Amino acid sequence: MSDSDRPMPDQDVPEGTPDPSPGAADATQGLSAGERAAHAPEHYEASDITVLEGLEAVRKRPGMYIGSTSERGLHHMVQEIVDNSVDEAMAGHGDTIEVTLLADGGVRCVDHARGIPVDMHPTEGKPAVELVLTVLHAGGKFGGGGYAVSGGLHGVGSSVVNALSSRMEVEIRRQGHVWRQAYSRGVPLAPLEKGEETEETGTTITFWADEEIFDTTTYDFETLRKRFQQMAFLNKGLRISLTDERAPETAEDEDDHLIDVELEAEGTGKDSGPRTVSYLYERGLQDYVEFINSAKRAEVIHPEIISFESEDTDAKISVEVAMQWTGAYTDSVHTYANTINTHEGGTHEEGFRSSLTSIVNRYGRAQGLLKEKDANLTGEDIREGLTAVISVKLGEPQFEGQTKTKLGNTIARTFMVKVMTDQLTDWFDSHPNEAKAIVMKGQAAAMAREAARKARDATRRKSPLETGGMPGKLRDCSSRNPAESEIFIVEGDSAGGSAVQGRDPRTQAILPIRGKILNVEKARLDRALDNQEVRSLITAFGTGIGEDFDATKLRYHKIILMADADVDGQHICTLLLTLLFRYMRPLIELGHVFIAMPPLYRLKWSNAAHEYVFSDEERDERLEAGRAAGRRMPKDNGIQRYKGLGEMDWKELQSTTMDPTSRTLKQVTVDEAADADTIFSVLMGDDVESRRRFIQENAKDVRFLDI
Amino acid sequence: MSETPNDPTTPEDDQTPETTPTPDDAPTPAQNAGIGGQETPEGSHELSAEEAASRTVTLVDPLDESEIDRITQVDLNQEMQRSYLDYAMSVIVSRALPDVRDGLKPVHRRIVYAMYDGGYRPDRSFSKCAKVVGEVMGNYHPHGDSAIYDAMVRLVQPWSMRYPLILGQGNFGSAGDDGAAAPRYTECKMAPLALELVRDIEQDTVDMQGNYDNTVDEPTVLPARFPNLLVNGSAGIAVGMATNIPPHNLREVADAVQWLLQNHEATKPELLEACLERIKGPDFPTGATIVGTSGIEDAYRTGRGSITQRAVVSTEERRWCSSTPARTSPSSNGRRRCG
Repeated sequence: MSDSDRPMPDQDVPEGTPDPSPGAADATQGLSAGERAAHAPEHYEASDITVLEGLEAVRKRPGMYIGSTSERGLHHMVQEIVDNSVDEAMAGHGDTIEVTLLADGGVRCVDHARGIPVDMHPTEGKPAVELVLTVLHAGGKFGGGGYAVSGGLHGVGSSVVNALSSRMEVEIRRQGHVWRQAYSRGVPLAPLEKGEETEETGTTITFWADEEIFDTTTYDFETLRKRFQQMAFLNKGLRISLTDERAPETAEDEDDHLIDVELEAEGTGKDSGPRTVSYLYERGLQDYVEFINSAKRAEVIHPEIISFESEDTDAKISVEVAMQWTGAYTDSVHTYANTINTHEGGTHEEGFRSSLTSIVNRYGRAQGLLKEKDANLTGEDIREGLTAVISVKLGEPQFEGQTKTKLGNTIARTFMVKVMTDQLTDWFDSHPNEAKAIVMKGQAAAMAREAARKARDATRRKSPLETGGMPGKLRDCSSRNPAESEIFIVEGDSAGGSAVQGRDPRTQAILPIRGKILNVEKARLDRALDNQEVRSLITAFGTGIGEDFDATKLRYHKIILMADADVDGQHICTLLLTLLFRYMRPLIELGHVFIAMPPLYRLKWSNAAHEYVFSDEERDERLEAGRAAGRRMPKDNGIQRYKGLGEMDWKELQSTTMDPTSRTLKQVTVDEAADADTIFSVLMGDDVESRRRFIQENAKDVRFLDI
Repeated sequence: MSETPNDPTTPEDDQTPETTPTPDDAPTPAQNAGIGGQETPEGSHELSAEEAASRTVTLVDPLDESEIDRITQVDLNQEMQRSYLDYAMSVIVSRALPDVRDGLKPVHRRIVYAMYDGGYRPDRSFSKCAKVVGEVMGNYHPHGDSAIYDAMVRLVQPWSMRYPLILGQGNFGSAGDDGAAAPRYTECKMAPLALELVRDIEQDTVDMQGNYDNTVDEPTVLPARFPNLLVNGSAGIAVGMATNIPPHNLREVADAVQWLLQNHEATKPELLEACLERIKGPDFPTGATIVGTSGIEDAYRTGRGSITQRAVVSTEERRWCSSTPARTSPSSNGRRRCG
């Protein structure tokens, strides 16, 4: 590095110039490291050890308590305060919580619960509320009396918020009076003050997050709104409202930190007045599932949402589950423990998954929906399209994992399995039709999974001889721009040769297929994918098929079927269209599929240029016109009927069929997709009887016969 | 006789590939060819052309505006129906099903006629099959050479044909799974019986038509002095319909024909009775025993019937199959069971 730093006389400037800056950076870094070493205190003794007392620790290391000092941590502050109110609500006190984002940057949370106790603490000599707000690990959630279950359990919530707030005001309505106290950075500004009389009970906490600590102190309305809506879902009967009194333009539209993608923002128009949203869900999780499914706009498999709850007071655990299957292809299972979203899952989710899998399989076997020879449905198959919300509340939740969002209590698993086995089995037994639909949905998913796997294997399989995995017979075009590229599917290698010579190698690719491809209407997908020609087509198109289909990966925007102008060519066209329609329907719907129109006849005028005609009528017309114009035709073979593309040399094929400036293409369009579905079944399917009827009824409409 | 649609032995498009003679009262394939093939298509095609013209839009391709393609739009449903119908009707009328008058499918007729026309007669010496195949392909049958050769090989094999129409020299395979040698090795000439199919063809007995490129004429049907369809039978699977007619003994059929010629005003039951009296039942080239006769009568009367065959096994010294049911392979079936 240092070599290149020195300007070398024979080094030209452009090469030399970029070098100095990193070199310089390195140098300064090296220097500062050295400096640090040199200036480090040489003595390190007992007096250097500091003990962070109480809330000082919180302010020194806020990350330990609220995760980070970023926006996420900021919102966590609100969460901590609101959680306390929710805990009260869960304990049955006060079902309304009002949160207000104040114009001056503060947050006010009002509940109507019991209020934090204001009496003197017997041992600490301070009012309980002051303890709660200034001492870590002080709270009502350790002993048995205060709360059965709660989201907070370390007793750090309020005090941490207090420590990290430049100012916090608490107002408690309890014991017939209003009690007030204010703090700054966790330090009480004055003793608890007994105010005017009141009949109400409840707590109001207002805090202003400390700008010294946080990177930003601007709250995102959406983040909080979503979180509060979630809490309303999880605590049925709880009314929670959020009011934004800030000036509208301060509301930021940052990305949401909550990972719950299901919750779509609903009309958050920026009106002038304070924005207020209020949530109250009487049916709790059922409403949640309904909300998720309506956002997905997915068709539901069974109209009734499966919902049950169970509680074990001895083990201090309760479980609520709401679930519903939809026609969607993905599952969305949301799990909560003590209203905390357990993104990483945990024991309750494990219990749910394993019991769901075994229950559905057992039910399927018992009802004969799953045959003996069938393999069990996998959990993944069963969960396809499932929307489920699981909420566990337990006395002493243990959270694990990177973000402390994984439940660790083993009791949650066993209890979950027990509840599921009892309740879901009951539900299946009492709803046989719905249960059958669910099992069948699982079976469909299993088949699709198998088919998709085959499709992936088929399209991904690469042999060392094939470059880029493209079929060996494909003569690709050099352009990589799908919009201008086109692929000709050519019948037979004979015609393929002419086509390859006659193409524009820049934009026109040729894929010869041998003979008649498999009729995919009659074959299951796995067999169809065993077929070499079918595989070549799929690979060449690049889109994948069935569920893996992705139209954006299409490598050619024009797929041109170019078969011989005889009846076998027509048959090949129908077979190709069947493949396209059944497995790559969007290609047809998007207008990517074309049929080439090779000429049917060549009129060999002996005293004029040869003419190509594309139909019998045109032939007669041109013949008449030609004769009228005094053209002559040789006695024998004056009209050549093209039976195959291989009959034409490449120049003929190019000028009549392939050259974009002179060809005619037939674009395949679908006017009536439902009709098309029937037609493919009749013409290509297994039902011979209806095919024969079709032929007999339409025999007189035949255009030409190859005799 | 052969053109009588109500003849109990008229082949008709049959659904079941059982061993059955299949009469019906629908038009014969040959008539189909006349009616459906020549007249109606013109009209319907005109219509479609008009339609196509009206649908022609001078739009630039929506996907790529830089090109100047002429693009006609065609509805998928219509395209599928038309293309499929053309294919299906062509297969039915002129590929997979035999003509009742000479019992031949087009490829066989073209082979026999090409051999007759090219002078590969029984009284001459054998010629290479490749030569015949080339002539058939070049003059009459614009399809693959292997399809033609395979059809030809079948006409030679005495276990496929009750009365072979072509005499072969060389390896034409075996009743087992062995195939014939390549056409450059094998030699052939017409069998004497095949001459009876084409006899008097020069006497303007049948209609001639231009071949695929209008360079030479070919017969629409062979004069066929014996009812070849009944004698050699035929099997074919078309689209939506199929046929399967067993072969019969030439003498027995000739007897029945003579009776019909003398009693041409006989009613159907009378004809059936007389036929059953003279024709004992199908006569399969591979021998074997027919078990039960009710199926035979069903087949002759209704066009559908099922015949059960049993192999004949000799147990004198060691067990061996002396005959096997039609279209079964001794190597795959017989030996395993007998040995």
